[in-house]
Amino acid sequence: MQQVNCELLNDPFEIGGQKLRSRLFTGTGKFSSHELVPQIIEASGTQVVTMALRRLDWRNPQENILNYIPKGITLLPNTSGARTAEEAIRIARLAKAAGCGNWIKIEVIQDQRYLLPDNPETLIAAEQLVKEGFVVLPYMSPDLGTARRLESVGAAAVMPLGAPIGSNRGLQTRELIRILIEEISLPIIVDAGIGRPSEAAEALEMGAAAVLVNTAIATADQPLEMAHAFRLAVEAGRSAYLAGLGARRDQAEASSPLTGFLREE
Amino acid sequence: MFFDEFKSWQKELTHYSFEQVSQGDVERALGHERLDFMDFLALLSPAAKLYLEPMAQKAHRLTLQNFGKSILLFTPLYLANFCSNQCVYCSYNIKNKILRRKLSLAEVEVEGKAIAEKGLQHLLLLTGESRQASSPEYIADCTRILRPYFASLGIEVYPLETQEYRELYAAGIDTLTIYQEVYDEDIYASVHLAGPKRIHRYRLEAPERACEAGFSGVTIGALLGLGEWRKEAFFTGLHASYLQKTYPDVEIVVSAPRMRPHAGSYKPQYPITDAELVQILLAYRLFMPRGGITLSTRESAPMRDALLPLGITKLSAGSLTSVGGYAESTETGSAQFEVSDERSVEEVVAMLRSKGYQPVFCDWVNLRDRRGA
Amino acid sequence: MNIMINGEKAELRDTISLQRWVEEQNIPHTTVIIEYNGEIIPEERWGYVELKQGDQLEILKFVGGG
Ligand code: SF4
Repeated sequence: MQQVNCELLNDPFEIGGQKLRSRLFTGTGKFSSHELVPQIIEASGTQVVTMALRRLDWRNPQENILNYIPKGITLLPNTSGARTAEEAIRIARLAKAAGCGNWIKIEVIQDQRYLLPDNPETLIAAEQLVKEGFVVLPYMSPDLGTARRLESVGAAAVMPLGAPIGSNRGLQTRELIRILIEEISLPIIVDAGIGRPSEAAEALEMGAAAVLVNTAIATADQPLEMAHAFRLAVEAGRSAYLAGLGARRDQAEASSPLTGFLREE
Repeated sequence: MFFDEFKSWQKELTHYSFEQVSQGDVERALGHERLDFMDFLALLSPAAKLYLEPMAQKAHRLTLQNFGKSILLFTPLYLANFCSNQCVYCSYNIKNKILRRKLSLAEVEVEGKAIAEKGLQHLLLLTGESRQASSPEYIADCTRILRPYFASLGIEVYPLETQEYRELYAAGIDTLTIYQEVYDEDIYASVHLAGPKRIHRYRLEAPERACEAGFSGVTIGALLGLGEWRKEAFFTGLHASYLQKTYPDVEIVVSAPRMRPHAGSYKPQYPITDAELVQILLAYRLFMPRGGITLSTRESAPMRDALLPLGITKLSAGSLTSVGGYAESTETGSAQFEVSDERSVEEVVAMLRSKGYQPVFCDWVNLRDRRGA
Repeated sequence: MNIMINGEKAELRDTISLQRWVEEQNIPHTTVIIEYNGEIIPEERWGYVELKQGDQLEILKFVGGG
C-alpha cells in the first residue's frame, strides 16, 4: 500500500521543464518603491516573479524593474495592456527580445470595467506562442472548455482567476477552479483575487499547484511581513493537501437501510 | 492511449494487496468528495465489506444529486447468433450446437416495430461475433431500417475499425456497448480459446475507436466471474475514467454483468456473491459520481429492484436474448444466456413508478438524418 | 525631421543612428526594447539603423506588474 502510494504521488511541480520548490508566484506591481522588490522576493521565498511591459517615458527614463530582481529568479512577463490575441503575441515577442527568457503570462483583457480576461483571444494567443517556443501560462476565466483547449494546444499551466484583478475578494470562483483541478492535468495556478493568506492556503488545500499574489502583498501595511505570511500559508495549504484532508462526515440522515436485502442471503 | 495506462497500473498492482487496506483507508475514501485511484481500490477491498451501508447511502445520495429519480429503459435486439469465437462461458460459442439464425432485413423491421410499439425508444442491436455472418454492411442495413422507429440505436457487436465505426455512425448508430469480458490477459487467453476475439488489445481499444468515430455514448464492463473481481472492477473503473477524461463529450457507462447459466459446462472461477456485486456497483458510483451504470436482465427481478437505488441509471426491460422473438411471427434462434428478470416492459414501468422513479423511454434523440431506409 | 516615438511626435535635428540617439537621451540601454517601424531591433543592431523622416519608434521597458 505504502509503496504504491509513494510511486503514484506525483508531487514535483514543474513548469516548462523547470522544477519549482515555491508555490507562491509574486507580482511586482503597486509597490511603493523598487527597493522593496528584492526584499519581498526573499521574504516570500518566491521563485517566479511577474512584471509588465510599458512604453518608456523616454524624456525621463527611470530605472528598470529588472535591475531589482535577483539572479536565479524566473521572470514571467505578462502581456497586460493587450486587448487582442495579436497584441498579446506582439508583447510576448518584445518581452522575449528583451532577454526576459521564454516564459509568458498571457493576459488579454478587453473589458475595462471588471478587467476580466478574454478567453477566446487568450486561446488564440496561447496556440501561436506555444508554436513560437514560449512557455505559456494563460490567465483566464475558469472555464473548463477553454482550459481543455489550452491544454491541448500546449500551454504549460492554466491560471484561473479567483476574483477580479486587484479585488482581494478571495476564491469567488472556487467551484469552477475545483473542476479545473479535477479535470485538467496541467498545473492550476490561481491568479488574481487572493486577498488573504488563508485564501492562498485554501487554494493549495484544494489541489491548486500554486498561487500568484501581488496586490495583497503590495498594499498591506507591512508588505514584507505579509509576503512571509503568504509563504507560510502556501506551505501549510500544500502540506494539508498532501496529507489528505480528513474525512468530512456525511450527515446521512437515518434513512432506511439500502443494503438490508443482503442479510437474507 | 488507455493501453499504456492499463499496463502501468497492471505493474503497480503487482505490489498492491487489497488485504492491507485498513478500515481507516475505507473511511477516508468515503469522506472524500472526489475519489482518487487509491480510494477506489480501498472501496473494492475486503475492509470495505463492513461499510456497505454507508457506501450505499452515499451512492444513493450522489445518484439522486446527479441523475434524479429517473431510469432510462432500453431493450436489446439480437440480430444474429452466428459466432466465430470459442468463449468458454457463452452459448454462442462456435462449438455449441445451437439453433443459429440471422434475421432478414424484413424480419428486422417487423421486430423493430413490435419493440417500438411497447414505447421503447432506445434499442441495442446485438450479434454474435461473426464478421462473415453479420458483416458491418449488414449491421448498417439493419440500422437504416430501424432508424425511423427509434430515438437512439446502439450496437453490441465484435470490435470494429475506427472507419467502420464511422460508417455505422453515419448509418445512425450512436452508442457502443463492448465488454472487455476480463482485463487480466492470462485469464483472457484461457477463456477465449479460438477466434479473432483472442486479441485482448484490439478489444480493449475498441471504445477509444468508437469515441474517435463520434459516438455519443460508450458502455464498458468486465464479465464478473471470469477474473479476480476486485482487480477486474478496478480496471473497469480505470478504463471508464480514462474515457471520461479523454472524451469529455461522450457519455461513459459501466455495467456489471454477472455470469449467467448458459448452454455449456463452464462454471465461473470467481463466482460473485450478491454482497460482492453490491460492493462493486457502489464503488463504481462513488468513484464516478456522474457516470452511467446499467443493469441487465441477467439479474433476478428482486435483485434488480434492490440494486436500483444504489446508483443504477439504465435498465434493460422486456429483454429477449434470443434472435428475434419480439414479434409473434418471427421464428427465434437460441438465446445467449438466460434472462432472470422476465417481467414485461409494463411490469418494469409499474415497479419503477411504485418506487417513486420515473421511467424514461427517451433521454436523447439522435437527430442526424432520421429518414431511414 | 519628424519621427514618432511612443505615439508622440518628436523633432530630430539631423540624421542620427538609433544607437547615438539612445545615448544622447541617457536611456539605460540594457533594459529597454526598441521596436523600429514595427520590427524589434536587438541592441547590437542599433548602430546600423539611421533614423529618418516618418520613422516610428516604440521604446518599452519592464515595470512592476502582476
Ligand atoms: S461471448 Fe460473444 S464472442 Fe464469445 S462466443 Fe459468445 S457471442 Fe461469440
